[in-house]
Amino acid sequence: MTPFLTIRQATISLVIFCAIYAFIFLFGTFYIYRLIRVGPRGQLFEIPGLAFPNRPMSLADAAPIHEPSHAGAGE
Amino acid sequence: MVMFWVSLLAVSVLLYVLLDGVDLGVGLLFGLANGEARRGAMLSAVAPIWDGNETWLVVTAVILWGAFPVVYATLLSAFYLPLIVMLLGLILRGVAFEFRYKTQRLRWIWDLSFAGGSLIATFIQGMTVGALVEGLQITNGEYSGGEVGWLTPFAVLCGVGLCLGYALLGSCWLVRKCEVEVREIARHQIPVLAVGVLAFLVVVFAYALAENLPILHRWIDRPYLFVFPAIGAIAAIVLALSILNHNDYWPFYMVALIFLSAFGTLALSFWPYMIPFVVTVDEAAAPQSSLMFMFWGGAVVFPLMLLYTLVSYRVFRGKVGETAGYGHH
Repeated sequence: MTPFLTIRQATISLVIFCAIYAFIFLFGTFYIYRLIRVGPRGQLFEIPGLAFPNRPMSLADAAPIHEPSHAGAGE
Repeated sequence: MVMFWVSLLAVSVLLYVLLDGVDLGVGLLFGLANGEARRGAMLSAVAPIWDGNETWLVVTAVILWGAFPVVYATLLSAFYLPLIVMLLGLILRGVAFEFRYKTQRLRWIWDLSFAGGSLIATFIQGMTVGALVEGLQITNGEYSGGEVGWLTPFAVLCGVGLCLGYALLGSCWLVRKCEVEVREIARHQIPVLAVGVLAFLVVVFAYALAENLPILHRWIDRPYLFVFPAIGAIAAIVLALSILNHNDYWPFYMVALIFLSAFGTLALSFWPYMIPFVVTVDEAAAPQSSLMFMFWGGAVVFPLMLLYTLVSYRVFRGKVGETAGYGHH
């Protein structure tokens, strides 16, 4: 253990790393879940004209998904 | 060999501050902007360049780690939590770029993350430099200031100052890259931010005088250092004139020149220390054999990085189309 790094500091950094990554991946998972719920639409595979190689996520740059009907399903 | 790595470090830090300062500044102004059209245009202005800019932070860290391990170790011990929080701020704003176009209802979360992450990262960078200028508490070559030894009024002041400075850089970039509404609003923000930066510099100088900071003695010893503030003052005058003339390009170059002169001022008043008045460049340098071993890595990769930075700025030159959103078709 390095002399200056206290357990408290290491714990704090671990907790905030976990919190931020949990936040990000929670939304990422939610987004993928929504994509799966909507299912494939239109052409099965088409490379978007504006997809950039340095931005893998731009492959999914189709129009934003509109609210599926599941919002009212439980009522 | 030591000078080679010092020069590389200086260029990396300067490029990081100038280039990432632009997109962090746009991130700060993004928090003040309302309306999807404005926000979209602001993001488009930095979309092609922001991630490349952050590689210079990585380069800076790698050079410190490889060539100046003592400095790397001391800085990381002294600023452990703030630097981790800064990284998380940068991660959050990077993700926000991608995620905000995937939602409409929750877009505010990512807009908040983008502006908030930019604010946190900028503030911590300024605060770190402020704490270094004021001097870290070091005993027997080890940092001994404790967990929050960096948290001083002066460091907080420098954090606020850098927020103003980056926002100024960002507003000049928006004037340069955007048109109509975004450009006009940014043009009105420049004088306000410039006056803010000026006020910050006056307060810093007064504080340094009042506290008799050791760095001030270097200025009395080395009167030639006043060349840099003089360059900054001339750049500020040209900036004011270019705003009055509604020029789109000069403000950015002038603010970049002001940053360059501020960087030169700091670097030369630190010299030959890397951590002021504790560790000199020569003391901090890794053994000659390590420096030699890494030389070819630096000599080959560094020019390539400069080249792709130049190429990417050349490819994405000119005004951003108003409707060309980052994630839209």
